[in-house]
Amino acid sequence: MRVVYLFLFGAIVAVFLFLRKCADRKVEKITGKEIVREDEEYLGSWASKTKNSYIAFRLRRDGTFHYSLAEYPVNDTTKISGKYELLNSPGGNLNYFPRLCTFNESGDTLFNYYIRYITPYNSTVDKYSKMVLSPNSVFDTIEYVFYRIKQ
Amino acid sequence: MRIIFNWCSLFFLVLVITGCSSNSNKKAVDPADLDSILAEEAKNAPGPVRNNLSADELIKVSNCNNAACVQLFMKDLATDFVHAKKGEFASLTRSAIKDTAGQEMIMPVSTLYFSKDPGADWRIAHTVHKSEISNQLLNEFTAKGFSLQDSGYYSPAKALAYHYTSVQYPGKVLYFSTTYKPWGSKGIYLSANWVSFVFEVLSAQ
Repeated sequence: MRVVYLFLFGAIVAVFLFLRKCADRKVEKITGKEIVREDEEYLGSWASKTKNSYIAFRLRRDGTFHYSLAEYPVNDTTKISGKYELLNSPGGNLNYFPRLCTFNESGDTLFNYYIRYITPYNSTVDKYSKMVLSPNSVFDTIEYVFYRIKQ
Repeated sequence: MRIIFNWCSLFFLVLVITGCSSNSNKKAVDPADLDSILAEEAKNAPGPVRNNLSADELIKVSNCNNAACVQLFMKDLATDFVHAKKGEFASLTRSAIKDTAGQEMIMPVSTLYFSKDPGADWRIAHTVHKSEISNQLLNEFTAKGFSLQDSGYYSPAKALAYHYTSVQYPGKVLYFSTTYKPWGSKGIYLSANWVSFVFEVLSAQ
């Protein structure tokens, strides 16, 4: 009898997750915003600011990529659209981080950075969701911190 | 039938409440607040306060003869040194270091490496990448009574090493060398083309 309950519980969870996924996609379609779940924390809009510039990019579920750069004091904003790919480390080697590659419409590479850190879905450590990109997988190199921004 | 209907209603109610509510999306920030958030994050994560280990610390860590001991010692210094991977600690302070071609590279100001490979000779070396810091550290040892006793080719560093001893620290010998190969092919020294100043305190026992 307990096995039946267990099966029933599993079925309810599966139905719940399926319906949640359907609801998420519908809401995404209506609002145009990514509903981020476990293992897809990279999705959404990210931004970073320095003294000289404001950089924002968006990774959409359909694989499209939007990038905008505003350099101060000039008010013009450069906007680029294209595609992105997430490349996992070769053979699941843990010495390498996954890589984020983005391309503009003509196929030129815009980003080719390692994702050194990304706030996990259920993180209680980070107050803000952030993504750390690095041109190198070696720990002691430059890193760029981007924060998830409200869309 | 009514009970089933009630359970279904509850299920959909839970779905509506939890669905579309994403933890990651909740942690999104307003672009207009980025300045204050960046300032807050910088405040909450104070940077390293120093560049290298002191002479005292090098003498203390020289008592270690296994990896666990060094790691435990460096655990207290986690605010200044990052444990990159086994056998490799690097200063969190970064600086522009010039290579032999005059090109500047951003890298840790100092590192502490120790042997981790099975069968390798035990060695702990503190490598400094700036001559000013090296001179300062050497002066610290001099202040502790270390004086030059000898010199000779030191194969682990593939360079001439100067040996210093002090009556205040019997059994301790400081090996100081200036080299391009402080650790052969390891960590950031895989193809090092910048000069390194290596400090190793050896115990006579």
